[in-house]
Amino acid sequence: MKHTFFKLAVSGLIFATTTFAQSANEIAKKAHDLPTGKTSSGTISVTLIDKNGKTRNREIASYTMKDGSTDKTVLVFKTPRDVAGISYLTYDYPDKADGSTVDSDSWIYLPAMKKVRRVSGSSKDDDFQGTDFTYDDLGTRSLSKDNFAILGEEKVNGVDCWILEAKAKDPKAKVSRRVTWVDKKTYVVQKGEYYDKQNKLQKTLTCENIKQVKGYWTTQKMTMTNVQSNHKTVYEIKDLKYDEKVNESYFTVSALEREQVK
Amino acid sequence: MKVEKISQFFGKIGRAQLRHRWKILIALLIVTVICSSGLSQFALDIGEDGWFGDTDDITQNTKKYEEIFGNLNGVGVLLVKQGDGDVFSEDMLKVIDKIGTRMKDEIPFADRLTSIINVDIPVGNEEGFEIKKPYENGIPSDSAELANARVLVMRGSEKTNALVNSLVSDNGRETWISLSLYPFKGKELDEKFNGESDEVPVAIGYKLMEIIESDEFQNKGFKLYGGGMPYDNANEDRYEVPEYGIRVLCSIGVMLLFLALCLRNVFGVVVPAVATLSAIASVFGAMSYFGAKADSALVTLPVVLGMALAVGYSVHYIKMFELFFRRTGKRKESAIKCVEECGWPVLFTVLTTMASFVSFLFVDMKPLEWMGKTSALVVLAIYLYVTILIPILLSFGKDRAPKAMLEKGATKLDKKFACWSKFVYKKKWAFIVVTALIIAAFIPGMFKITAQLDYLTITGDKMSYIRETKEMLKTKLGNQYSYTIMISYDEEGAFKKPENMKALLQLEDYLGTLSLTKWSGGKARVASVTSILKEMNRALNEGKDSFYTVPEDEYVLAQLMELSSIEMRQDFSDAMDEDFKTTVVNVDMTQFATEEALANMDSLKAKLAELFPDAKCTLLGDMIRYSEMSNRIVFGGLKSFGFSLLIIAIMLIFAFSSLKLGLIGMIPNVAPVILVGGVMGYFNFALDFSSITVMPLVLGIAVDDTIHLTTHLKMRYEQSGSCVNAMEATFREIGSTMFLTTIILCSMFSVYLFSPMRFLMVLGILIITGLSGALIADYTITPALLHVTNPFGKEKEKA
Repeated sequence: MKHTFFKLAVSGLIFATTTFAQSANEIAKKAHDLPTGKTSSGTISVTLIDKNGKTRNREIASYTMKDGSTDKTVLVFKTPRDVAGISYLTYDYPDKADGSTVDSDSWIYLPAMKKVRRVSGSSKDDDFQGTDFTYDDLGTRSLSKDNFAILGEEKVNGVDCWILEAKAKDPKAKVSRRVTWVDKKTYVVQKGEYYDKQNKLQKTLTCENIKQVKGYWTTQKMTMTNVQSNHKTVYEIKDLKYDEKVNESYFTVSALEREQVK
Repeated sequence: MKVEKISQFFGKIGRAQLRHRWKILIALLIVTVICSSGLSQFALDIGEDGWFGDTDDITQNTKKYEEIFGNLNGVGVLLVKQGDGDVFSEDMLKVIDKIGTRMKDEIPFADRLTSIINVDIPVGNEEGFEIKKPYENGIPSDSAELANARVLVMRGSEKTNALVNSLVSDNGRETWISLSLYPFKGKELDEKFNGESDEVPVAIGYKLMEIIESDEFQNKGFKLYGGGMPYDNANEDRYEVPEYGIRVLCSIGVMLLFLALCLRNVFGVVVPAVATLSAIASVFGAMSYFGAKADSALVTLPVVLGMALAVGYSVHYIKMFELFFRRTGKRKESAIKCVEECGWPVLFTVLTTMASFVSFLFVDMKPLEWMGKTSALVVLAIYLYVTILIPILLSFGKDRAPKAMLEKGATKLDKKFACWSKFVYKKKWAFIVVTALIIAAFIPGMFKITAQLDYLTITGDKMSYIRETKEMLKTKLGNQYSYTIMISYDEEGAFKKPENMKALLQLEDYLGTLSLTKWSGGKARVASVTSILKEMNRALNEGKDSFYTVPEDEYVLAQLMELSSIEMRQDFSDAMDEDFKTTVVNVDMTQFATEEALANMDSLKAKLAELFPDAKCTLLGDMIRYSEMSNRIVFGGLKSFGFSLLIIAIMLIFAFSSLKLGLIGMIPNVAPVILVGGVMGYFNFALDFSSITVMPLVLGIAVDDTIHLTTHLKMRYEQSGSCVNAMEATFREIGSTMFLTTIILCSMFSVYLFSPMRFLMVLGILIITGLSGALIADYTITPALLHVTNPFGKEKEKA
C-alpha cells in the first residue's frame, strides 16, 4: 500500500518562471517532483457526501517524515467513536531505476482487538480509506506509468494553467486518462478530471485554499466527485505544520501497539 | 322505453347520415389521418417494471432502495463448463475475462463487475492480512500458478468460503460473471437514450445477448446463460413481440376470410376492413400522442377484439341491409332501415362491452388499466367507424328489383332458426333444467381456480428461450428469480449492535428454511453483509476458520464494520449504508410457484416482525412484485368482474325498463362465465395477467347477443302482441346473424389457439368456450326463460 498523503496537496516553492515552452513530460515531472517538508503533521478531515446529500465525517491525525528515501506515514483515526484509535503505519519506497514501483509496507492497529496486523495487497488504484480518492490520486503516481500530452491552456482559479493529459500505458488500468490543470507558475494542480476504461468521465477534482504554508504550496481542500455514482469526498487538511520535530518513534509498529500516537 | 321510438330516432340519424354523406366522409378521413399520425410515436412497454404506477408502494420502496444502494437490477452470465475440466484452466479463465471485459466495456450503465477474475479475497496469516485478487497479475500459463489461484478461490468449504456455491460451484464447473448497473439517469441516459429510461433495460439485455452469442464465445467446451431483468426483457422483445405480430396478422386474415365468406362481395370485405383498421389505428395513434405505452403482453387483445367486434357489427348492419334490400330493392331506404333496426341494439352492445372493459380500471395494475382503457376506446371507435361508414357506403349504387322468392327476405337457414324457436318453446322446462344442471356441475370448478404468475409456466416450453431458462435453472448456480429484504432502523449505527447482527444471522438461517429459497450444494443462496464480516474477522485472526464468524463483542463488531467499510468499501456498500442503519439481504429462488411464494412471503413477514420489531422491513424484487401481482390479479379480477356484472345488469334493466327482463337477460350471460370459471378450475388454467381478462370480456361480449335477441323480441312483441310469434320472427331475422357473429368472434380468437405461447393459447380456449357457451345459452335458456317468465305481459294478438 503505497501512499504519500501530502504529495498532491503540498507543493514546493516556485522553481522558476517559465518563459519558454515546455514539453508535457517536463511539466509532469516538475509537478511530480515538487518538494514537501521533511516532516509534517496535521489533521485530515474526510467528509463523505452521498448522492442524497447526506454527509459522514471522519477525522484522522496524520504524521509524516522522510527517512532517507523512505516516506513514513502514521494515520490515526480520531472520529467517529467506533473507529477512534484505528491506526495505519506505512513505509513508501522510491521507484526503482527502471521506473517500476516497489511495494510499500503497511500495518494496521485495531484497538478493539489490541492487535497490529500487517496489511498488504492493496493496489494504488484502490480507494483511499473508503473515499472517492485513490491512493494514486493522493500520492505520486510513477511517471513511467503514463504518456503525457499538453491539451491546451486555460485559466482556472484565476491562474494560468496547462491542461496536462496523462494516459495510462496499461490498457487494463481502472483510470485510463487523467486530465489536470497545472498552474504554469507553481506546478500545483488546480483541478482534474479522471476518465474510466471506457474513457467516460468518472471523477472530477476541485482544489481550494491553495496557500503557502511555511514556504510550501499547500492545497488545503480538495473535493473529488464521482460523477457516475454521484458520491463525493471532501478532503481537508487542518493545523498543518511542516518541518517541525516529530517523534520518530511514532513511525514504528510498537508505537501503534502501545497506542502511543494520538 | 319503447323500442319502436328509439328505432325511429335511429332512423332519423340514418337519414341525416345519407343527406350529409360526403361531408361526413371527408370529416372522418381528416380525423383518421390526424389520429393515425400519432402511430409514429407508438411504443411497447416491455417487462414487469411498468406493472406498477409511480405512486405505488412497490415503486416507492424500489426508489428508496435505489437512493441508498443504487440500481436494484443487474445482469449476469452463467458459464457452465461442458465436457472435462473446470473453469480454472487458462483457456476458460481467458473466456471469463473476455466476457467480463466486454460486459463492462459495452453494456450501458455498467457499474461493477464481479467474477472469479477480479474478486477481492481477504486472506489472513500469522503476520497480518491481505486483500488478494487471484489473477491480479494476469492469467498465468504456468500450471502451478493456475493451481495456486484455484486454491485461493476455492479455499475451505462452502461453509467457510463465501464464494463457493455462490460465485463458483463447489465442483468448479459453473461460475457467474455479474455486472451491477448504475441508476438509469444522467448524461448517459440523455446522450444514448434521449432521456428515455424505459428503453434502457431492453437495450442492455440485447447488448448482453450480443456478447453471449458472438462467435468468439461459441464453443462446445462451455455454455453461457444470460440472466437478469434486462436480459429477460430483451428476450421478451425478441421472441414474444414478433409472435404478437403474427397473431394480429392471422386475425386480420381470418377477418377478411370471414367477411368474404359471409358477405360474398368486395364491398363487404373492403369497407369493414378499412373501417376496422382505421378505428384501431386512430385509437392507438391518439393514445401514443399522449405518451401512453402499450403493454407488450396484452397489446394484441384490443386489436383482435376490435377486429372481431367490427366484423360482428358490420355483419349485423350489412345483413339487415341485405334483408330489406332483397325485400324492397331500394338501396337508400334499405340503408336507412338497417340503421333504424340495428342502431340501438348495436349501440347498446357497445356500451355494455365498454363497461366490461372499463371495469379493468379497478385492478390497480398499469397494463390491465391500459388494456381496459384501450379496448373500451377501440370498441367505441369501431362502433363509430362501422356505423358511420357502412350505411353511407351502402347507399351508393343503383336500386334493383325485389327478390320475391324468399319469404320476407328470409333464407332457408333463417327459417330453420324460426323452427328452432318453436322447439324451445315446447321444451322450455327441459332446457331450463338441463342448463341448471350444467351450471351446477361447473360451479365447484370455479373454486379450484388458482393464480399463477410464474412466467416460465405461463409462457410454456414451446418458446426456445423459456426452455433455455429452465435448463439454466437445473444447474447448480442457475437462478432466475430473487428478492431483496431491506431492513432499516432510524438510529445511526444500529447494526453495530450485536443483538441486531445476531437477528440478521438468524434471519439468514430462517431464509434457508423457506421452501423456495435456492440451495447450491449445501448452501442457501442468501447474501448479506455478514459474509464480508466473517471473511474480514477471519483474515484479522490469522486466517483461522474458527473465526469465520460475526464477533459478538460490541466494540470489536463496530470496529470490524468500520474497517470493512473502508477496506472493502464497494462490496460493503452493496449490503450496508454508510450510517450502518440500513442493510439488505438478497435471496435467490428456485422458481416462482405463486401459492407457495405467497405462503413464503407471509411467513417471512411474520419472522421479520419478530426479529426486527423496531425496524422498518421492506421486501423488494421479482418475488415481491409477482406476489403483489398475484394478489391484485385475484382481487382485482373479482372487483373487475363484479363491477362489469353490476353495471351491465343496471344497463339491461334500464334499457328494457324492466327489472324482471334485465335480470332474466343476465342469466344466460352469467352462465358462460361460470362455464369459463369451471373450465379454468377443472383444467388447471390458472388466473394470470392474460386469463384475468376473460371473464369480464366474455360477459361484455356475450351480453351483445342477448341484447340483440331481447331488443328484437321486444320490438316484434310490440308489433305482434304475441311472445311466441315475436320469438319466431326474432329467430328468423337475427338467429343466423347471432350464429355468424359468434362464429366470427370465435374464429378471430382461434388465432390464439395455435400460439406457441401457452398463455395466449389458454386465452383462446377460454374466450371460445365462453362465447360458444353464451351463444348456446341465447338459443336455449334465454328464450326458455322468456317464455316461462313472460316479462312483456300476457299474450295479446294484435288486430
